[in-house]
Amino acid sequence: MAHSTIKIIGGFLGSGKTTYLNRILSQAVPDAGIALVINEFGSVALDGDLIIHEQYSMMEITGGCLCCSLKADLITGISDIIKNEAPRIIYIEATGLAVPDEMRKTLEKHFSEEDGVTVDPVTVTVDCLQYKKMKGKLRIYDSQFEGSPGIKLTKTDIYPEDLIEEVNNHIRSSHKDIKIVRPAAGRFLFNSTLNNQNNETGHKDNIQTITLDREQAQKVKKDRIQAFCRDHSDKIIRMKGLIKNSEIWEDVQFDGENFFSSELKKDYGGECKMVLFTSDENRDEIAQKLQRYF
Amino acid sequence: MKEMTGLERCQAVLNKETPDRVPVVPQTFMFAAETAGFRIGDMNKDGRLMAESHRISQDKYGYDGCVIDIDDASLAEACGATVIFDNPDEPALVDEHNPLVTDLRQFSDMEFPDPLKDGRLPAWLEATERLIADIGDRVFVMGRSDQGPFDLLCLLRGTQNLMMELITEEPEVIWKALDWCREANLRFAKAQKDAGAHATSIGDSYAGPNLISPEMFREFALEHEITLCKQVQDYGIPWSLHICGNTNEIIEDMVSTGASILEVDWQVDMKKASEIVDGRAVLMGNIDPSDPLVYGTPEAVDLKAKAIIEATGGKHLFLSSGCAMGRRTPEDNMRAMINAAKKYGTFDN
Repeated sequence: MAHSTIKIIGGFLGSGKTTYLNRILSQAVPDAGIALVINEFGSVALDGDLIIHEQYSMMEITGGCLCCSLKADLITGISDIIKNEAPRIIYIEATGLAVPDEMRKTLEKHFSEEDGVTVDPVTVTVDCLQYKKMKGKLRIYDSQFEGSPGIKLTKTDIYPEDLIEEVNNHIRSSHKDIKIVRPAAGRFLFNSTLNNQNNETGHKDNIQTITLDREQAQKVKKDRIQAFCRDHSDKIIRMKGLIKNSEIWEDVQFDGENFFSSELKKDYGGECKMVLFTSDENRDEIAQKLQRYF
Repeated sequence: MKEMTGLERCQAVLNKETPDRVPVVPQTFMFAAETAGFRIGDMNKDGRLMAESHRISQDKYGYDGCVIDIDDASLAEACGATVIFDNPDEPALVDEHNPLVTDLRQFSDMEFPDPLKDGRLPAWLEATERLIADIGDRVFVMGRSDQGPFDLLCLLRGTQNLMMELITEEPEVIWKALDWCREANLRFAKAQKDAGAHATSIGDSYAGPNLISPEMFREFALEHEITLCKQVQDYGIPWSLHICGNTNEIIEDMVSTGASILEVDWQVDMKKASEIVDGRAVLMGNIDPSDPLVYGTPEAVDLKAKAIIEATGGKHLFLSSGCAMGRRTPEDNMRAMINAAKKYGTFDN
């Protein structure tokens, strides 16, 4: 009997699940027997579009309620995949508003070793900056850590080292049995140098903001700010703005990797505005380049 | 006791009287569509087909109450949100990647939706009118007013954005946006009453403990639910509050809204909930819509239904699924739920 292993990738919205999954897939050998299940809550399956999926079968589960029909769809969908394709590995990218451990429990209840299925422990991606903002403040964020998942710290190449260490230590102090993995030199490796000290007290927040005034924001063109973010994606952690081009208002955002824009449905009627987030050490360089931009 | 109709049974429970037996009010829009042989995508803009699906399903199984809804996106759509209808077998979705509102302050300039004109709300109301005309003399008809203030705000702003802004935005700004969403819902709820619905309800599940803490629920969602409940019930129609997920921590808060009915999901301990509610509202629930209703056996459904009736003493109870029933629910499992009410929930006096 063929054997399938189910691997759940959880993590809050925007924490880097898709990037992590793409990284895994890009390193997989051809014909690795991988199937993907993308479960994006309450929205179009954008993550599915981002996945490098040419050589993988992929199923999207969207819509439905938080706890009800999605669960039934998930079980049915995975049953179908196992029956029809017998993949070696099934990666499930959980919605950022799910509790990944609940998903694991549901799957363990319905699939067993006797059926030729192993449900692996959950992996949760953690964006360090988001962790600082959300942990302890939003229930669904804290729920990501239920069941002692493995942790992947993401975007560590663009965050300052002391922020990463602070988050690293905080997770360890709160969840002593959690394994944390962080990328080094662009790859995910186990880090054996982690310590258990919590140095949260006295930590200096090294994330800086650059805020454009109204006059500057009025000059921003979408194509150019997109190019600027792309060209400096190693130094811009996040960008968010409301701009007006040719009488059309647009919401523009950059998450450190991807640029998004959407036209406002109605006349916004407010002011142009834009803010960029960088690390402390990169702030001046980005601010100077922005000045030249204008 | 003389056998009651489904409507009499439900109204007796709402009036805190003893019915002949526990009524069964399943949440069936997907199941009813499957039973009637319709695809969701073919009927989600058509009030006649919506009503027909409920009529066929209720006629086949004989349950006591119908709950009218078709997806979670209709009120948001009427407000101006973009909705995706890409899968004809699944409910429509709000496109949260392109939210209607990019700044919570925009609400002050936005017009409220007209339930008689905008989006698919007229179709919902037509479904209510038709179902009331067809079977409303003997079957309880709950015409939902779709998403409650907190859920609606999530859909209009994008849940991801709002979750962030709950922490970063000024509470007063969030509060005012919720006020707008409450008023939008109120208009639809009143229209359901005008269409003849015996009760109406909201879903405010994003405000539940699965997403935000009870403290945050009390800070942002609860007051709006209390106000909305009073406004709707003052208009003359019982109001039901649906918060699925694990709401054990906020049952007392849910009661404090003044709701006539509290719809609770499978994770809720019905014995404790029943003790907390203590007859101040009807509890509606709470068989897991996935397991046992889709994946379990009729015997498992029977056991769960029996446990719910025993935990509550069968009083102040609408036996139901914890949330919307899946369209793949086996026929025998639906019958097992209904039969359990007859086997274990009959009152002699």
